[in-house]
Amino acid sequence: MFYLSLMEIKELQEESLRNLIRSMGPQGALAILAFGYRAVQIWREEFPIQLPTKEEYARMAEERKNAKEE
Amino acid sequence: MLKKNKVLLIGWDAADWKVIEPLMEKGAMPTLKKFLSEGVSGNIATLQPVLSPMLWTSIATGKRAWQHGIHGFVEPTADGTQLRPMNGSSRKVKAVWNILNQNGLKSNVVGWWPSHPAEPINGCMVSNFYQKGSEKHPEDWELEREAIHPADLFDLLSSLRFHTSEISAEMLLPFFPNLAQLDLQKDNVLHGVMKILSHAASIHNASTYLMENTDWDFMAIYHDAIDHFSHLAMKFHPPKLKGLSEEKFEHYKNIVESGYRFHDMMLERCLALAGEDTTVILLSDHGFHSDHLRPVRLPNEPAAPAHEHRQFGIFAMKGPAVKKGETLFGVRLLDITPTLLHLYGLPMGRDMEGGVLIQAFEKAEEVKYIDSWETIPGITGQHLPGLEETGQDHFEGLKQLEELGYIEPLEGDKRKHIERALRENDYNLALSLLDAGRYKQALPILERIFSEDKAAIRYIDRLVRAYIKLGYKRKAADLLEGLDEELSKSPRIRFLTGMVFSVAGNESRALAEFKDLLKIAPNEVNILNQIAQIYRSKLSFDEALQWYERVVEQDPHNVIALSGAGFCLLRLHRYEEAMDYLLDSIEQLYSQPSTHLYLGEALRGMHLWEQSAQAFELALLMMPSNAKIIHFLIELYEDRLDVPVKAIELKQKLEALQAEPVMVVSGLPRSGTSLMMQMLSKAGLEIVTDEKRTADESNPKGYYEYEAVKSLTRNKTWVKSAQGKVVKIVAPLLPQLPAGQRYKVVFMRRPITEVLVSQQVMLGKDKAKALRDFPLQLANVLQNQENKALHWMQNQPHIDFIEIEYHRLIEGDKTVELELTALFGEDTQWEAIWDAVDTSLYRNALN
Repeated sequence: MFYLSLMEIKELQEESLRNLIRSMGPQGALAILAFGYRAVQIWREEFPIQLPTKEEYARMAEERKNAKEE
Repeated sequence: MLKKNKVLLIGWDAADWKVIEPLMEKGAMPTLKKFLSEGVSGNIATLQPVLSPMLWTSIATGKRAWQHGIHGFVEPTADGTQLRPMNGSSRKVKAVWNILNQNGLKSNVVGWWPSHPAEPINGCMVSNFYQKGSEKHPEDWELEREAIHPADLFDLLSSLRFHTSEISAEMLLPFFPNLAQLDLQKDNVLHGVMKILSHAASIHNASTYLMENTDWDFMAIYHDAIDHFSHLAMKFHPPKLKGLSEEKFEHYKNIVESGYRFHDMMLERCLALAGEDTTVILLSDHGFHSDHLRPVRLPNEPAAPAHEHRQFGIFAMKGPAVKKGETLFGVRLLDITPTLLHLYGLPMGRDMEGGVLIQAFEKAEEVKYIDSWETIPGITGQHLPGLEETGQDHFEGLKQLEELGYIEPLEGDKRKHIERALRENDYNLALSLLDAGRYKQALPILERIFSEDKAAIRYIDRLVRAYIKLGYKRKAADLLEGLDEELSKSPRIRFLTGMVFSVAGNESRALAEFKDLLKIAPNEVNILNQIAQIYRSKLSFDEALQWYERVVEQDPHNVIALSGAGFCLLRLHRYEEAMDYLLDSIEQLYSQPSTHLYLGEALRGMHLWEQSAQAFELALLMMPSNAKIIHFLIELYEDRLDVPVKAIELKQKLEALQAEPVMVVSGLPRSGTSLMMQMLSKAGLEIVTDEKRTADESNPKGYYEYEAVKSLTRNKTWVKSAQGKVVKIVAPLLPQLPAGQRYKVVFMRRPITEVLVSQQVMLGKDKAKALRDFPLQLANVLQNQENKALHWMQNQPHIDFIEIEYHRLIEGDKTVELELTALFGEDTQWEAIWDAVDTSLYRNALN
């Protein structure tokens, strides 16, 4: 599943591409990125992600910076 | 209706066959494997310095960095107050998409480095700023308006950027099979991969959208991800490096491989969208050391990560007109633009150093030429001159370059950063000139930057090598002797000292120095090659061969050692073995004229007359004035191959070569040509003049002209009588000089504005009026005449030339003597030239 072959999905029409992406679930796969913009758009529509708040984001960046300095 | 001639050019920065081949073998890059079977492929030789923004601009223009003007990673902003990542608008020449634009063809360009701000081409451009900053919070991840052309695609393309927070665990698992064991919050390698992956996905999203939804003739896509994955994680790539912990190796060993596999998957999609009728070129700008040649540590200097780059990148091409399954030899970055133009039936410029990869095509169609695309008017889609930036913050672009180690940390004194960056760019420019064999032009730049920073070993290194190349052994020795003691002890300086001993003929001291250095670095190929070279120059070919073979053991692709070993075997009359080494060397790097010559000799030794003649012909193409090759060919055509016509042609060529050259002073009228003639006369050279045009107020010391020059287009018979003498010929007439004669040209340069004012004053206008009514259109015409003459000379093998600026004569710049010596030789009293200079005559400087 790491390297899902695109040969299987590149000929698919819009609806079957959507079904395939649905079957992958919210975690998606590298194949979605490799397929390009349309697969990414569908994946975003099907599984919108919950973004961290700005504060959470800043805290995580700070932790990484500290880890690097250590 | 004719089928549309579409070309897709894909750039994978730093991709290397050494990584790809084992992956293809185990079935991990199936798309590329199929691609290769359907087209041609081979190594592509990079240029120096191996820095990506310069290289990708060379790929897109067919010009070296000293011509195209992109000299590094960063440059000062227009107001000079801060640094910014190198802008595409700093490019001084047309890119292939500009040439296509003026020929009515549509291009899409995505992510090319550097291409910001996006150029207003007939098509779409997504600049190299598009994907940057993806680690900011999504709400703060803004995109500059100037990153997209046309503006109506801005919102859509902006939405297609892929943010790091969108990357899922499933997407990361191929890179990190032990993902669960990593600290997801703090692991910086993990976050590095996420950032690189998000950038690659953004570029791929924009590319796939434009391929699918726009009409295009040419599509160029640039990915930096392989280079970034490699800088981040090649040290973890199998085989495991000594000193690396088992834990780190296990955690990160899959990163580079997965990066390549992801590119193979993106390639599959791009090929599907491009369709079978599209010609596709896939290439990298350089390779990346992935084996025992990986540097253990990097030097503490700007752009140090470039030490991880390898000289050869990848090249592959497939398409309806392309041969199938063949290997190409001798491909260079500078061949790409000529080949692209050829694919559209357009001529290449004679000012492009590379050539069309004609050997890649099933049918060899004639290559068309023009002097230069730079002087052909048309709507090119370039920025208008004087484009100023909108005061944007360059932090993201600079931060990434800093993280990659290409520029120094951005803290501290801003002014000093700018000065250092400018010096670094000058150093890069000098490297580009050295790579092109323009040592004399590189020298003043290297001398200046060395005077500004005398502790920079890399400046010392290049300056000493330039001195050696130009034969200034004393200067090289003086420089090294003047260094402080601590610096003199460094291995790199000791290596240079060995080189200077070697060229000065003190071979025993050179050998002692190099062998002593081997105690510190027993397998250092540069030292081994130097030792081999010394034994070779002593004609100890057996001994030299052993040292070259030691290099080949370390680095089987080392072109110097392969060629050197071949040469030694040739002199030992072991012709077949010599041929094998020489062919291996040429396979790595095609443009080695001497190696082609040795190959010709080896084949001659094997009595393979036809193949021998072919090798000599190739060598002659690269060294058209080499009498030795001509002699070999005459012998072969007369005695072995029975082609007397060719032998006669070559004898005539030899005769012309052996005659003395005609010396020429050229330039635009009023650029200082008469002054240079006077100077050469003072130095004792014989002048060709009929003195028909006498001295006047504009030239109180005379014009030194020869009436017959004016009718050069009709009558060239007098030229032969000028052999060994100096004649003045204005720039536009230079292309009328008959071939079959050697020329040495001093080309005078003076700012066009000064030339024009001087001409106007000569025609009776006063200086103030000449300045007020400045004829801008005429200035353009003159500039074109000068450019054309210089472009023409650059491509004439029978012409050696130097450019001298008029103001340097007035200022008494003594380096002029060095340049004249290099062009004309040492048998002249060059110091006497200064007797001709009267600074009071320098009246038309604008200030």
